[in-house]
Amino acid sequence: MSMAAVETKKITLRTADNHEFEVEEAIAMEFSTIKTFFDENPDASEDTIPLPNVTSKCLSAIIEYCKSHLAFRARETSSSIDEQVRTYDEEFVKARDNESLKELILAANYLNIKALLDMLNQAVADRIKNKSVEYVRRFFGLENDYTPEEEAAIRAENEWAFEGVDPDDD
Amino acid sequence: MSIVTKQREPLRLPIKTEAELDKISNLPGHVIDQILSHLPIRDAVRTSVLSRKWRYKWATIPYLVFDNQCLNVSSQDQTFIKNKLVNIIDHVLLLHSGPLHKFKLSHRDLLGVTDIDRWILCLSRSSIKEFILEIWKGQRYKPPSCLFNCQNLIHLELFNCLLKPPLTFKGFKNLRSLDLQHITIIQNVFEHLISSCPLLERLTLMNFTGVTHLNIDAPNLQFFDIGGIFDDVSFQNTVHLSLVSIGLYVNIDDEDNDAEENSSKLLRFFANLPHIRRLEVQSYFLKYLAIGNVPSRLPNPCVDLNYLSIRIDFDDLEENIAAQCLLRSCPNLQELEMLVSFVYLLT
Repeated sequence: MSMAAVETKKITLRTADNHEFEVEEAIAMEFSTIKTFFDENPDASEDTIPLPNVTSKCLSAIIEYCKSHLAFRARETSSSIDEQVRTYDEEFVKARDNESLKELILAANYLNIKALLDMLNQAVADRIKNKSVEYVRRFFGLENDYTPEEEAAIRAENEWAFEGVDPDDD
Repeated sequence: MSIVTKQREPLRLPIKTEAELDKISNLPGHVIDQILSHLPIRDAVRTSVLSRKWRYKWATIPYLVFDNQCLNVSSQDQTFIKNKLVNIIDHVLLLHSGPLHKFKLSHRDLLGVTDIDRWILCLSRSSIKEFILEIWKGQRYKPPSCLFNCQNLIHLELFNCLLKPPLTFKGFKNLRSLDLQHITIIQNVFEHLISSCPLLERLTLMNFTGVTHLNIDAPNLQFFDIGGIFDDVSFQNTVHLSLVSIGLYVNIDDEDNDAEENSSKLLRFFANLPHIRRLEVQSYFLKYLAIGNVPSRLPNPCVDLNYLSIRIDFDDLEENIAAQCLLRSCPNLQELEMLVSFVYLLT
C-alpha cells in the first residue's frame, strides 16, 4: 500500500538571537499570538516569522513543552495521564533558576500560551512561598521605598502573616 | 535552501523597546496578579511590605482561601486560635477590594456561627462564584438566607451543614457543580434544589440526613457521586448523565425484601440513563439493585458503558443475578472491576 506523502505544514520562526526553528503547524498554533496572526493573514504562512522578544533557549524549551502536552492531550484522559502531566511539568520547572523562569514567563506571555503561563505562574508562586521579603523583592526586581518606620508599621498591622517566616537568607 | 523574503511590509508581531527588554526583572501586571492569586493568603498579604506600589496589590486578588495553613501559631488554646482567625478574616475582608470570585473557609478551629453568617453576608454582596465551607467540628451549621441570594454561584461545596433555604428561594440559576457532604436537608427541599438549578452538571452527595428517596431531575447532569443511606434512587431527564458512582452504606435486610416488591429496582435505575459511560456500584448498592424481579438483561443495553466497577458478595444469590444482568447489558464494556466481599464464619 503506498501512501502519498502528506506534508505536515511547517512554520519557520526566527528568534532574537537569529536562530531559525522549523515547527509543525500544530505546535505553532499553540502560540495564540501566532494563531491570531495567521487567522488575520492567511496568505502569510510561507514566510519566516520573527520573534524578537524570544531567545532560542526559551523557544526550544517552549516547543518541547507544547509538543509533549499535545501528545498528552491526544491520549484518553485518565488519572495516570494526569500524573504523567504533573511529573512532566515538575521536571520542566525544577532545574531552572529564577531568571530563566522569568524569561520563560515573558516568552509564554508574549506568545500567549495560556496553559504554559498558568503552570509557570504557579511554579513561581511555589518558589516564593515562605521566602523572606528580601528574596521576593529581588525576584520581582523591586526597590524598597518604605521608610523603616513605615515598614515596621505594616509588619505590625499584618503580624499574623509574618509569624514563622524564614529570616532573610539566600 | 534560501528562504524567500518578499520585498514588502515586514511581518510584524508586537515588539518591545530596548528599555523594556533590559528590565527582565519586571513582569507585566497581569502576570503578577496571576502569581499572587496562586499564593496562600499569608504570603499574599506579606507582599504588602515589598514596596509602596505593592501595598494593596494582594487585596485585589479575587480568591480568598482560609485554611489550616493561614495561621502559624504554636498555641494549643482553641479559643485563642479561633479569635485570631476571626480577626484575620475580618481584617482581610475589610481591606479586600474588587470582585471576589472564590472564597474557601476550612479551618479545624472554626466554630463561631455569627462570624460565618457575617462573612457570608459580605460575600453575597460581591458576586461570588465559588463558595466552599467546611465546618470541621460541632453541630451542623445553618447558612443564612443571604447565601441563597448568590445568583452568580457556579460551584458550591458545604461540609457539615444544615440546608434550609428561605421559602422565596428559586434555585441557583448558574450553578454547575454542587458538593454536599455530612449535611441535613429535608426531602422536598433537596428535590427543589436539584430541579431548580438548570445548569447543574456535577452533583456529589455524601452522608446525608433527611432524604430517603433520591429523585434526580437534572437535564444537564453529567457526574453523579453519592454515598449514604437511602431507600430509593431514580432519575428523570438525565440524558447527559455519563458518570455515576453510588454507595449504599447500610445492608438491606433480607426480610424487608418481601414478595410484594416485584418491580425491579435495577430496571427503574437504568430507565433514564441512556448514555451512561462509567458506573461504580459500591458498598451495598448491588443488593439494592437486586430487589424485585431482575430481568436476565436490560431491555435497552447500555451501549456507552465502557467502565463498570461492582462490589459483590458472591455468596448472595440475588447479587449474583443482578451482576449477571448488568454484565449481559453492556456490550461495549472495556474495563471491569469487581470488589469481592468476604464473610468468614469461624467455628
